Amino acid sequence: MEDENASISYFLGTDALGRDILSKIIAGARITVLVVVAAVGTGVIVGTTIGLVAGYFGGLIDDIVMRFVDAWNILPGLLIILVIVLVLEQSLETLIIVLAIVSWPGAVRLVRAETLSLKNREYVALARVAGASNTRIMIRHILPGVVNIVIVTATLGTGNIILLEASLSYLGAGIPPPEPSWGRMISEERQYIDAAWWTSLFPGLVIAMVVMSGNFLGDWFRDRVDPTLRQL
Amino acid sequence: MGQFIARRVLLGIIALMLAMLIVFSLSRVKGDPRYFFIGEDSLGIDPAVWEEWGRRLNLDKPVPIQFALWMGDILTGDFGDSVTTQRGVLEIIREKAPNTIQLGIIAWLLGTLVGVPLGVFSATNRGNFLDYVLRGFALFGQSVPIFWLALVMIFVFAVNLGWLPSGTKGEGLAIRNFVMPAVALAWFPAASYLRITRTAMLEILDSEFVKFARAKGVAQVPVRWKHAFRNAIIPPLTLSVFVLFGLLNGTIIIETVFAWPGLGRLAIDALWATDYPLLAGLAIIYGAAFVVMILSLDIVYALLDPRIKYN
Amino acid sequence: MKILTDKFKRKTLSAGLLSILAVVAVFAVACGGTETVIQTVVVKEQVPGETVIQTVVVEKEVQVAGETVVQTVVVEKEVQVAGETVIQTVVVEREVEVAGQTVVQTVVVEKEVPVEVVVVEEVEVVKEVEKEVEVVVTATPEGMMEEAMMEAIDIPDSKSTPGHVIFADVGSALGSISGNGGSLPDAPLQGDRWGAGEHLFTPGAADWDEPMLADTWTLAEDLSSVTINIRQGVQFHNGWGELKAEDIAWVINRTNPAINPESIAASAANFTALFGDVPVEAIDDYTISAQFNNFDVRWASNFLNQEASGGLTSMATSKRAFDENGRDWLKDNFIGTGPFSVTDFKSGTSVTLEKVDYDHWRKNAGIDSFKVLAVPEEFTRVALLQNGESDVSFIDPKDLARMKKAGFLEVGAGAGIQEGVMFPGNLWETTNAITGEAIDFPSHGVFVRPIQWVGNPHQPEDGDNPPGIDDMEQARLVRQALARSVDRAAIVEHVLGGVGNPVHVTYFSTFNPNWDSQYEYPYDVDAANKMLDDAGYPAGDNGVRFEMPLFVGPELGGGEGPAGEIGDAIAGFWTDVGINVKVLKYAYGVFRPGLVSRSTVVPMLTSCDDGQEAYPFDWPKGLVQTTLTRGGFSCGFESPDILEWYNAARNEPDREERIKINKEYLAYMHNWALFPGYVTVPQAYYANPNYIAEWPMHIGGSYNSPENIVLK
Repeated sequence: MEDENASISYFLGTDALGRDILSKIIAGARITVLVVVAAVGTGVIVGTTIGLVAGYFGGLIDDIVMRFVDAWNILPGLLIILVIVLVLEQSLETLIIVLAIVSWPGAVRLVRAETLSLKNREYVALARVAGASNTRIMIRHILPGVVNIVIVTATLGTGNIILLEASLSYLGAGIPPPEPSWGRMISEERQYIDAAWWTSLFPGLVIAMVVMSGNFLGDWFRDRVDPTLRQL
Repeated sequence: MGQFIARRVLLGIIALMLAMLIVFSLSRVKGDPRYFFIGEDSLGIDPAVWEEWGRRLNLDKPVPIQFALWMGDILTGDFGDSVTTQRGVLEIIREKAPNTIQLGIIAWLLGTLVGVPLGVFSATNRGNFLDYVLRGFALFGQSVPIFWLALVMIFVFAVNLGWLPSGTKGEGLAIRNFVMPAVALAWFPAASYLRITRTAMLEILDSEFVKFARAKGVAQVPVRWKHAFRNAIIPPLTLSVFVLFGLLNGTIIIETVFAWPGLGRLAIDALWATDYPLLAGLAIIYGAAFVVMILSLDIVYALLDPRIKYN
Repeated sequence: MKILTDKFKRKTLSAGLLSILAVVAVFAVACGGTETVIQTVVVKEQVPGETVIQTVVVEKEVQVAGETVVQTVVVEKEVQVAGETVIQTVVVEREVEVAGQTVVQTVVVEKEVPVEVVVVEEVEVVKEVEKEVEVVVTATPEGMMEEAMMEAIDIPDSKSTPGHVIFADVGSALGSISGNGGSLPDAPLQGDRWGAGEHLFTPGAADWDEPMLADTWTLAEDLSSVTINIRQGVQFHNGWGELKAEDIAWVINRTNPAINPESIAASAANFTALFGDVPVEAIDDYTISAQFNNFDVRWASNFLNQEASGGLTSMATSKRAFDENGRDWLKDNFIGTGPFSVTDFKSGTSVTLEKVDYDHWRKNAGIDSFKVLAVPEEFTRVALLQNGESDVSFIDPKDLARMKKAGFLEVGAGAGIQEGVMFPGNLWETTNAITGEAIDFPSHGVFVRPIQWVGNPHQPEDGDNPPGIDDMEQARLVRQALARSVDRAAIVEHVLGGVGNPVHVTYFSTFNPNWDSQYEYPYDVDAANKMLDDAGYPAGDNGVRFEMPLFVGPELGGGEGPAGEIGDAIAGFWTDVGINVKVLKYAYGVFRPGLVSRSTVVPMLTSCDDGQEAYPFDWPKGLVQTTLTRGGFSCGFESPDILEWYNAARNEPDREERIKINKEYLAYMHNWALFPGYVTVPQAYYANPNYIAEWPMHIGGSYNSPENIVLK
């Protein structure tokens, strides 16, 4: 029996059941990208909305929101996520919700801070004088000012979400089978690290590369958005 | 200053109480919480015991009252008994905590002592080959799943080379047993430190007063360490608290891989046994520890950076 | 300038990595539509001798339910004369016209046929599946990396101090419910596993009720009571004196929740049933007397036994120690009578046992000390064994084959857990057996809508039955089809690495001499399809007959075994007969309320308490399949017939009669397919043969008797 660790037809070798690693990585990409984009997207949209409202209206709403963000931040994230997966059914939807929960407090914090500084700008005051409604001011005048920074952090956060999904897979709480996921691939093939390193190495490298790309992309966006950091 | 600290303490307490609310809500998500408090029995539970548990959890009262009573218990130090072991939650946590604290602090020091100097080094050698190597390391360090790294380390250093033990804490103070778990835990923080310190250093090195010091003829090395680094310390310092807290997340995985008898393992065991009192206890103790850490950080900030205003 | 080149380099690097991201993303998007997955499986084996190559190509056109299916069967055989078995590889290619789309399915079937020739085949199967992308994660042949893995393992020298044995276990029992802290009887720890505790009875070579701490006993004629004389001169650890009858009586009463409401011993309710609220009494120093409330023939072989699965009772422990120090002290301390005493216990982490320093009444341990470590990660347990850091490790089924081939020593108690699928919701009893009250069926949620695998005896026509078939028969056909559509041998081979074995009716081992092969469910897809057609569930346009959930418990659970993978494999086979299975993996604590309230209809993969390969054929079966456990756990289904057999068997002192009763129960369970079994998962441990010569155990649920370990 041959080890299919490299050949033309199996560029990255095959796994314990003779399945092509590359095909699995490609198939896993779809689901991983879906989960990550959905989770980060949901988290960021919800977080941005809450942050905008809290920052714009201030007062009691702001206080309540920020205390909840604080509360979330002091809890051990991974443990709470695992408990949520435990009490909900383990499914793709649950996982997306859980990963979205991870991203929202950061977005709230960021957007709120930006909103606070933008809402006292002159052009916002002018808009208010011109009779624009609160909703309109938030959407047309403040949102464009915060959207850049949100995109930057969301991109930077993508890598962490992928790593988090991999960790959850390792603990048995990740993307449920039969959907292939990268984290699951590494987790399932870990027993062959000694004999068939390629089965877990390549998914690991793909995760590393995508996380790195996310970081580069985030850095690049940030340089575009914030010129003071451009040359660092 | 006193007012500032008082306000911080108040905010910390509010955050902690809201965190308790989150933890409490999780036990009520799926209806009757008794299933999280009564262990698996195979032939059924005495209806009297079932009722007794209902009373003990105050299920006959409205939910807000239930929460208030539960929180009251916790604030008076009564976290209840673990479902699976029938031992006090605090007692169990106290028993395991030293192992995690030892590992966490060693990893934290390791991450700091490796990451911060390398960050400074990388910044002062900007654009060099070494800078690229270090930044490459930092990127890679932040990009690999920690459990995979740990398994590869076991494979290489324990199974193949036979230099280090594969896992467990060993007998007594077995330093060799600390090496792999600590390095695996420190990997990600070291990379974060490197990136953040580098950025902070570059910012400061570019600033007017460092340029001025240089113009005055102060030598390179003192400029770097005395003038620049002292001012660049704030971001890594902030990071360090989050790193220490983040290590708690890391221990869940690392302690599972290396069979380390600490709180991370305890959390996973409690999770799979649906041991709710223990899970809640862990989450709240973690939260309280973090509140205390942030408070200390705020105070250190205030002492270090005169620019911070208290209001 | 420098900054410029810096930026340039950085941009190039970013661009490079971005393009990788882009490629991945494009692939990901591309995969969203129709995709072709090509799988090639090459199976080669070399056996010297004469060979004949046969190739048979058969093309059939089959008319199934209005659809035309073209089957191409390619059989390639390399036949070696003068052997015993033939392995046939049949490649079936089907072209199925479904709603305008053409789906080509290739099915590879490997059969073992007993003939007087050996066939060695060289078959290359190129599998092309053209359909909505769905990478199949269930088993396909064959371990590609076996050779590489064999080379990777050397047998090391043990790093233990001579005389000490280190055991790496999964550890879920180290300080959890069935293995609670200390020797507290109402929350027992499995001290008996570690040679620290002893019981009245123990499983012997012939019978499960061989006396241990019991010496002689007299059972009343009418089975109403028992008098037990206990062994004299047995000493408690740490100078707590001689074991007396009052210690034993106290332990039993402490476990019985009818007497001690604090008791959380697993299956404590058994004691309520057995003894009621009449305490067991010590007549004199060495005699106890017990009144039975509901006699059960397993009183000695299971309830008061060393190998009480799940910790039915606790080891004999000192009442005086409890009286003097209290409950909390006993949670952390072990006062037993075994050949080892516990010297260090860290809940969930480790336990250290040392050989007692006096002459033990039963057996002087062959080793000085024994340490059990909790190691949840399989990879680490293997590494510990490979490095000589542990002398014995628990090994997951999928690694068993390679550990064996590498030359490690297999030790075990012959334990295996049967995994079957029970079908909750089949509530067929009309009276509550405990209270005697009638059960109000129309109010039962499980019968509100017709569910394919739930038969409703109270309303034979529930709206979706085909003519001439009532609801009970309809659901029976469905469950039979589900039992017959799974290739058990393939699951054993590919999920369990060839070390488990098939089960057909859960609770019954196929190795038992009383087992009858007529109760097997043969793997027969055609028959299963026909049954589902007959039951009135034809395949729809997309090939799906109906949807069904399957609960398999949490995914990893800290190394609780391969249940998840078995569940996935079973679901895969069911998908092949047109049932769209949703495999549910979440905490049992969330699923359990539905079982207790008898309101769930979700099938569950489980051993349901008594699915232990080692359990004798004659033990009363089916207690948790009756209304006798209402208010508590159950398999989710209840049958008046099972109640009758259970009650008959538990009161029947004659073993042969009990076997006869259980054969009736077996035939019934086979026919109604309420709890078809699939595979047995072995509980296996591997030892370092350079250090451990042998470790004989008595039959049981996991490991036991470390006092029997013999070192090299």
